Amino acid sequence: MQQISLYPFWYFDIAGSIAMVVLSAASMRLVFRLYRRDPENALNTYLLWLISAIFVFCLFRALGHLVKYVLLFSGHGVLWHRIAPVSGGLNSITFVVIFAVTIFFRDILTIMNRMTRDRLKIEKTSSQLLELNRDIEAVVSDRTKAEMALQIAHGIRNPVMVIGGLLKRLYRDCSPSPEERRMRDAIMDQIRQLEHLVQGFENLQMQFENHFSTIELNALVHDALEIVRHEAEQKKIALAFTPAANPLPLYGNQQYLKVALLHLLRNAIEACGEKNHIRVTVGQTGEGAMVRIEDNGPGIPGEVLEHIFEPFYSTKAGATGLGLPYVRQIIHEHRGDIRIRSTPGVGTSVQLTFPTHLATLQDSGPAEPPETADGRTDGHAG
Amino acid sequence: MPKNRSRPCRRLLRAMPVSLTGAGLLLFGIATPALAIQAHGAPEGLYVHEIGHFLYALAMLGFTFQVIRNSRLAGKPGWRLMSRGALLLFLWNLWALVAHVIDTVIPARHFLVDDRGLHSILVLQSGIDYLYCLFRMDHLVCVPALLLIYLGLRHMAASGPVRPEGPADTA
Repeated sequence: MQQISLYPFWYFDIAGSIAMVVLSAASMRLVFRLYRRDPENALNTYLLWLISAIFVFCLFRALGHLVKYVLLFSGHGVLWHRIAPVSGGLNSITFVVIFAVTIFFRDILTIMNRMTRDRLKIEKTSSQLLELNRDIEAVVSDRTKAEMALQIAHGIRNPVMVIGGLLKRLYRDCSPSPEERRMRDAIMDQIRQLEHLVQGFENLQMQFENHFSTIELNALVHDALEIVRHEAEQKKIALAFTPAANPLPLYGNQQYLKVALLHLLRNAIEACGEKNHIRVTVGQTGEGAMVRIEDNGPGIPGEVLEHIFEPFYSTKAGATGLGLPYVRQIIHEHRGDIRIRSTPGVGTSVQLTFPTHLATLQDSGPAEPPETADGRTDGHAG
Repeated sequence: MPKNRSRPCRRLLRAMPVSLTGAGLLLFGIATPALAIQAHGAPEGLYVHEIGHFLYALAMLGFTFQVIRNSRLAGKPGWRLMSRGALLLFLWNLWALVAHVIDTVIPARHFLVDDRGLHSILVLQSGIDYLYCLFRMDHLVCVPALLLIYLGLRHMAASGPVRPEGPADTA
C-alpha cells in the first residue's frame, strides 16, 4: 500500500492561510477607504461588515492553523486540542455574521429599490401634474383671451358700423366744403382703424384652433391612466386598460382631451371603493373612435343622471358642478359624443365617441361650444 | 450621599463587560467532557460549524444572485469580480463541508506516526484517503476567491461611488 507524507499538505495549508490573511487585510484597507468616502452609502456599510467578518474569519482560521502546526511541531499537541474549539467557534460565529449581514442587506436593498421606484414614480407623476397644470393654465388663458376678444369685437363692431353708415348718409345729401371733406375722411380713417382692431381681436379667437393636432388615442388614454393609477392603487381599485389593436389617430386638442379623461377617471375612482374595478377600453365603432370607462361602483341614481350635464348641479359638497358640463363641452368641440349609462348597485359606463374622418374634421375645424348645456335623462349628450 | 454611593456600582457596571470577557476567555480551552451533566455534547461544535458553512454558502449565493444581480451593480467590472469571488467562496464552503465530513469518517488507523511523533503519514488504502488528500487542498479555491474580491474592491475604490438602489441595468 502506498504511503504519502502529509507535510506538503501542511506547508500548503500554512502558505494558503497566510495568503488569506494578507488578501483579507488588503481588502479591509480598501473597504475602509470606500466607507470613509461615503459613510451614508448603505452598500459601503454592508461591504464594511461583510469584509470585516471575512477578515476576522481569515485571521482566526489562519491563527488556528498556524498555532496548530507550531504546537504540533513543538510537541504541544494537547494544548492545540484546547485551543481548537475556540478557533472553530469563532469561525462559526463569523459565518453566521456573514449570513446575517447579507440577508439583512438583501432586505434593505429590496426596501431601497421600492423607495427608489416610488420616488421615481412620484417625480414622474409630479412632473406630469405640473405639465398638466401649465396646460390647463394655458387653456384657461386662451379661452379667456378668446372670449374677451370676441366680446370686445362684438362690442366695437356694431357702433363702428353704425357710425360709418350714419356718416356716409350725412354727407351723401349735402356738398361738404374741403375742410368738412378732410374731417370726414379723417373720421373714416379712424373707423377703418377700429375695424382693423376688431379684426385683430377676431384673429385672437382664430389662434384658439391652432392647439388642434393629430393625436393617438391609445397613448392619450394610457398617459391619463398613468396619472391616476397611484390614486386608484391607494384606494385598492383595480385599473385595467385594453387599448385598441391598432393606433387610433384623432384630430383634437391633446390637453383638453386629457383634462376630460382625467375628470372622468377621477369621478370613477371617487365613486368606487376597495376591491371595485375600473376598466378602460379604447376601440373603434361604426361611429368612430371610442373610449369607454366602466366601473362596478355604486352607480348613479336616475334622478342625478337626469341632471348630470347641467352646470352647477353637483351632489358633492364643495364641488362647483362644472366638471361634467366642461367635459361635455370639450367632447363637443371635438365633434364627439358622450354617453353615460348607470345602474345603481351595478356600475357606470361612460362612453366617448369621436369622429375619425380626419380630413373632414381638419377642414371644418373644431366645433363651436354649445350655447346652453342640455342634460338628458339618459345621460347622453351628443 | 447617593452620588458617592452609586460610584462603586457604576465602576462595577463598567468593569462587567471586561470581567465577563475575561471569564469567558478563561473558560475557553479548559472545557473538558463531563458526560453526566453536559447538555451540549462534543458533536455539537462540528454541527454548528457545518451549519455555519452552509449559511456562509447561502450568503455568498445571496450576495451574487440577489444583492448584485437584482441591483444596478450588475455588469460593473468591480462587482463582476466580487460576484465571481463570492461564487468561489460558495464553492469553498461546500468543499469545506465535505472536508469536515471526510475528517470524521476517515479511519485513524490510516495515519501513521513519523519520527517526530506526528501523524504525518497517510496510508492510501481506499478512495476516502484520496478524497482526504484532494479536500485538504481547499486553498486552491478560497485564495483565488479572496483575490477576486480584493481585485473587485480595488476596482471599486478606483472608480466613483456606486449606489445599489434602483432596478438592475438591462442595457
